[in-house]
Amino acid sequence: MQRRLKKAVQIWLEQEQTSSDHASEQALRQVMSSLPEVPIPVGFAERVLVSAGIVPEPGRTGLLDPAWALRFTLAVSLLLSGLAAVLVPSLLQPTLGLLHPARLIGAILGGVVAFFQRLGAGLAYWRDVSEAGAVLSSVFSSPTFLGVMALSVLLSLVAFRFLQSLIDSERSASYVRSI
Amino acid sequence: MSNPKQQDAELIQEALDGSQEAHRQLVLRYQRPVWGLLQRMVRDSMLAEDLAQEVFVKAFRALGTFDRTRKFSSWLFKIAHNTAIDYLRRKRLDTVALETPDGEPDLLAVVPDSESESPDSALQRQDLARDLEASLERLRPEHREVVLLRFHEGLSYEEIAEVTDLPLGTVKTHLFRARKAMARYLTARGWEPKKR
Repeated sequence: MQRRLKKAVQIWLEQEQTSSDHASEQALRQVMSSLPEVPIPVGFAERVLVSAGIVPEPGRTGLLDPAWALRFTLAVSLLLSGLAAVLVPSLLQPTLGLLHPARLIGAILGGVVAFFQRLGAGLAYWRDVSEAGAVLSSVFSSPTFLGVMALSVLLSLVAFRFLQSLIDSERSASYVRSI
Repeated sequence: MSNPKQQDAELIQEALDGSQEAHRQLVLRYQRPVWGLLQRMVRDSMLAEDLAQEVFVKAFRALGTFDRTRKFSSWLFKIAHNTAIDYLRRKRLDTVALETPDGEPDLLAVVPDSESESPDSALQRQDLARDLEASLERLRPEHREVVLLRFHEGLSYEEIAEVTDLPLGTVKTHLFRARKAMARYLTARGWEPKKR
């Protein structure tokens, strides 16, 4: 590399002293092509694309980004776990007190007693209603009551016929009886 | 097999259609010449990276206005040229010119002291590539740029004139003076023409 560059420079310097511009230019081009390339920084193209807004900046993500959502979920889970660790023991004690067998049985029995008390009250009310119904039933099924009812029906029929004949006599000659 | 210009045209069309990969390929294809030009223009790797990024970002934003009858590389070099010149004007990067404004060489600062060191020992000590880079660095920015575009990137005089917005005659004059200044610098550093 160094030898090639040295030779190219020597030729170019010679051409500068003796030859035409064209030959000197050709020689200098040879020299420049022997120069080491300037190294490009790693990731330059990606940084350009980010600067131009063509690709999103790494690390800057939206709320709906799966990685962000995962981190959010983990953070919320940790927070809830922490809160639970603080609150659960204080809540557990009274809850477990309620679940003591004696209290539990007492509560169940109290519920059963209350249920049957209410059921008994309901049945007493039903017995009164049944008795009233039995009384009325015996009255309605007596021969006297049935006779009175049959008489009333006959009287109603007679009254109806009388009123109908009365209305018909007062109708005009143009009245046409419906078919 | 399509030629580079056709490949560029295809990549540009795909990039305009929104292809990330086409954008990436355009960067990979031209990062080396753009980077090399800017690195040697500003002589600072970090800065060259920033400017090179700026060049590609500007190019991608203006891709829709690119005239596809032209060479993409020339268009990109023009953006790189404008970006570098803007920066140099802003920062007024101080350069030690080899030439004085009237074209006379100003080599006092770089000529080795012949009494304290022989040319042979200087030759042994010096690294040629470093001296060559130094000869480039000591050129005025406008001269350095035309040298790089002509001899490193292989652009024609006309393309260089288009990239730099200079008249063709000025480009040729810049190249001639730059070449002579570099040759004088290297000779002053002890490098000699090939012995006949």
